[in-house]
Amino acid sequence: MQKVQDLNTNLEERVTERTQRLRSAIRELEAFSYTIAHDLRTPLRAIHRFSEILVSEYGPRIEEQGQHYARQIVSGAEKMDTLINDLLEYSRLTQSELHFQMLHPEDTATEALKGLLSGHAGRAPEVVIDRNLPEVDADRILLHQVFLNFLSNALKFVGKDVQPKVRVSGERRGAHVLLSMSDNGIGIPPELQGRLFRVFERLGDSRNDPGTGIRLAIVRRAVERMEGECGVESEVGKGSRFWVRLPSTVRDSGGAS
Amino acid sequence: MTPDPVLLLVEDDESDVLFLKRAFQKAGATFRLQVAQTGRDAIAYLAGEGAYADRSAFPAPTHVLLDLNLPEKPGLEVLEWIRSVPALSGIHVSILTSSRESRDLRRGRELGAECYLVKPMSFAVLLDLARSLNEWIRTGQIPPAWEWPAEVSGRSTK
Repeated sequence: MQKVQDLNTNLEERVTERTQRLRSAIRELEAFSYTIAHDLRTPLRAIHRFSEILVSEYGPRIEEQGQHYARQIVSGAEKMDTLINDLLEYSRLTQSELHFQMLHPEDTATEALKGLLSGHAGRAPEVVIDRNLPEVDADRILLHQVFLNFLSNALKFVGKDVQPKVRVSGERRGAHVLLSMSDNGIGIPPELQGRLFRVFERLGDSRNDPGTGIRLAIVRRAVERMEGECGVESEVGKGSRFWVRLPSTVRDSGGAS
Repeated sequence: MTPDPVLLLVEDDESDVLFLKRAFQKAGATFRLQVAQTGRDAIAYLAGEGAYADRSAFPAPTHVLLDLNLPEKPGLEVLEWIRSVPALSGIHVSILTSSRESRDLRRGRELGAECYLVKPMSFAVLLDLARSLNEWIRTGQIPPAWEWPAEVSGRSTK
């Protein structure tokens, strides 16, 4: 009997110790990716600026083909900058301190939309954000990220010459609020839906957008940190409905990390 | 009589130094530009010690443009040191960094930097920055857009 008790105590100690080790390994890895992303920026700036100067100041002295190559370097560097920004955003989301408060989702969605519309190329989208959505207990910055990334995808992945249409709605489900974002985009094949929210997952080669893989991972990480869940229902050619379930009740402040 | 303006650029990356020199030149900068490549060098320069004792070759700066990620001594420690020296109380310090972390922004503000600039990717934008900085140094009026923001945005630096 004594032996069993010893074993139990021992086991608990070992679990605690391993958990701590695992936590510190994760923290180290996050700090590592953060540093890498920062350090990558310095040489990238040099690549971008040198090729930019090449085009603007030496352009006339370079053959057409050569100018084209130099411009490709500039645009490659810009894509990489976007990627690094997304990576940093992801790593920041895992480290930032959270401040939970009761938020009106429509305000956060409207604010995220405002930033997106100013930089939107293509047909002006029709976005409907329902009024009087039930309040959620969330972190403002994380919720902003959720809407920003969902809406940005909805505006981007539509068929050619199709006006993007998005609707943000929500309803109370017990102690939770279910928020939905429905679009008329190109849709996501069933075999890809399960992989959609993982970091660095690329979906198909035709999407000339390097950041996509990280952006949905940002959403998932943000939602998980707010003790919620997210998912997607979609049919190719018919659009997608992304959903987020978040707590609607006030919790102890300072809580989850 | 106010001294001739001297900008001390504290930056370890050589190509960043090169681009800034080029940008200041194109912006028609009217101040004298000096460079320190480490945090320790910056402090030695500002104190007029060691290799920097000769003030005719290394005139005392009126403005500092400070990178945060520096060898030997981080930029924020350099800033903290500057603000602890009464003789340097009139010096204008701006941060120029690739970090968009809110904690860097917050510390920079607490320690007394006058503005926080994020290094742009593009040379064209860097040139705008050099022009604004030159105007600030020339007129003594900080560009309104450079007043402290609530937080650094996560994106958008082209």
